[in-house]
Amino acid sequence: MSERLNIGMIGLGKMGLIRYKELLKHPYTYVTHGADPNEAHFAEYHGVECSTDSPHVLESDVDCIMIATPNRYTPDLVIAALDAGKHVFSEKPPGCSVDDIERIIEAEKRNPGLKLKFGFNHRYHAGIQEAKRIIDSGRLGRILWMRGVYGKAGGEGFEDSWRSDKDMSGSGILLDQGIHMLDLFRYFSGDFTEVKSMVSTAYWDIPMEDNAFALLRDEQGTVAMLHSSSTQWNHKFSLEIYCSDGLLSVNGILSSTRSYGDETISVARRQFDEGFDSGKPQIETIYFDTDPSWELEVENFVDSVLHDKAIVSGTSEDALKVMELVFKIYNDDR
Amino acid sequence: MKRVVIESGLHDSAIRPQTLLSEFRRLSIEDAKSFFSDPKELVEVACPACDSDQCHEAFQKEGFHFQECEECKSVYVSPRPSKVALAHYYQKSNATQYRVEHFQRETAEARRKYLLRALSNWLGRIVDEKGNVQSRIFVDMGSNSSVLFDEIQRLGLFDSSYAVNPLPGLDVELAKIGVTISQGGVSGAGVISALHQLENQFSPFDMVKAAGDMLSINGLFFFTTRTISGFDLQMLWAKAPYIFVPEHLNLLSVEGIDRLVHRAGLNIIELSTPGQLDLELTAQAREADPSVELPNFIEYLIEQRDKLAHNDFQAYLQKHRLSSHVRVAAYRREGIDA
Repeated sequence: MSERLNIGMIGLGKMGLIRYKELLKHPYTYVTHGADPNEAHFAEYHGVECSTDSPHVLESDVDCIMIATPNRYTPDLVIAALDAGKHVFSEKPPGCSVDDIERIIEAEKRNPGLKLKFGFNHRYHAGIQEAKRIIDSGRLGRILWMRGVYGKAGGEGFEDSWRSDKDMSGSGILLDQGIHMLDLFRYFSGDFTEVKSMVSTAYWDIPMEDNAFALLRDEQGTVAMLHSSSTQWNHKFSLEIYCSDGLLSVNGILSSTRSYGDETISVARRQFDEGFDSGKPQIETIYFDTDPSWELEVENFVDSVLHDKAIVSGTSEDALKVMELVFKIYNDDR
Repeated sequence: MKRVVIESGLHDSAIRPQTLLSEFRRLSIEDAKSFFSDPKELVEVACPACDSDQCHEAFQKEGFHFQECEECKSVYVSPRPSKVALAHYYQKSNATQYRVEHFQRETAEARRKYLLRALSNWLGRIVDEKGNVQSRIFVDMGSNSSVLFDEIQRLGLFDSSYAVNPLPGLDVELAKIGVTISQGGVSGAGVISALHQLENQFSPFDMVKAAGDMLSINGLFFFTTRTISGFDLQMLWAKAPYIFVPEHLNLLSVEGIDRLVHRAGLNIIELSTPGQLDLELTAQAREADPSVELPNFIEYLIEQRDKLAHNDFQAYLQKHRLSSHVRVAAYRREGIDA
């Protein structure tokens, strides 16, 4: 393999463009081929040979393929890319069903020398990274419970977007956005074995859920509570982790529109044995001014490919486990 | 870069009881008159933050001239006592003795509760994030009590602790908890702290540079100081009763601190102003000194709004780096001579 990675891209819409801009900045990547059914997207990809057909990329001499397509197309494209001998970075979710990710894993096993990573970029947000360091240090003790709220407003045209087309997306807000919060629960606490849920279509005229509420419990008894919503009229991201010796809370998540507010992490120790009033500990809130998640995630993938390192975050195993959770939440309320 | 907001219910009276502070201030001003009485021994300096020589007089206090830097807006005393004169002062003055024997000892537990435990937790978090975990040496520059070492040792991150150039009178207290005293320096340190030292240094640059020289690669330097960018100092300016020479030779701006740290070869991880007392100190100063005039809005806020509004206002100052208590975490880059 050359010292710089030749990258092809399938799916040149909003997410594809975010990834493309990161690849342009990276010293060890260049993009030569792109594919998207919508030719209007080609204009942003200067110097990239673009086509409306995915074989244009799959059959090219690129080293890696980045896939940023609606959920329906993702699994077949990931499988085709792996079978074509390409390393693959794919946006989440890895399809519309658990069966989809299982098929992907079979293809991964057929091609053991190739790297496969899924884009669960929230793990790389500065607030989440800080939270992970704090939890892993053990300074706050063991995790007792977690509570995650992740919601967006849907907005104008939401009912007509591909995300609201069941055939294209598979299901609703839980698979689209709530999956990030489930992935973060797993990131901090490992796997959950027990699931209770209520899933509803409360407002939007769409054939899938616009709200999902779930309670998860792992084998150690740690409970996580999720609310995923597309009727959150004021965008919200909140992940609270309460531990035996303290708490942390990540609020807001930096996005291009800043609609989820400032990204902060608040940290406090359980200080009622340190002279502070019960319930009024000293709270320190850190504000983060930049979102390094896209850059770090791409860097992690490129580093794995160039130096033959194992993918450690966003693996197919991570994708499988989180898809299993998503569908346990759906199934529990049926 | 990170910014931080802290809420702990801290009141100034807990860490700076009025009687102790008044006596310390009285002794400091009295000592300054006797130790630095000869104007010929005072030294002109450029801006201690950005090294610019473009300045104008901001105000005078107790016969000392405070200049404001045209470039970075830091405020500093020039001319000022020489390095040698300052060293002599900190060894021999009554103010220093009072500080160690009364001020620090009598406020030790409040400082531990409200400031030093949180500070050591912060330090631990940054070490987890970016520290050189191979180097298990901790150094505190200009130590004025043993409480910080107590709290740092609780983290379990270090095998040995050094107090570099501590105030006199602390030998026994420090030795009791296994802290080695060094009058020169230490090499290969993993973490160095300097709490409220920058403001009383002849040359803040020399201090930051010295810290960099003592650090291992990727070692961390933590310091706190007062900044002129803070609300209370901007409001009170020359009338801030707790600003006096030689304790406050350098009131660097947030921008000046940023430049200073980079000039000294370190990279900033965090530059925050998590002070909790700006509004309270401003209100106290106005109450104690009828000549202090505040803008109508601030008068109104203090008089007509409750603690909740005051806390929110203070949080706003913290969030936007506008409180006068600043804390900085920086690291020594690989391949760079600090």
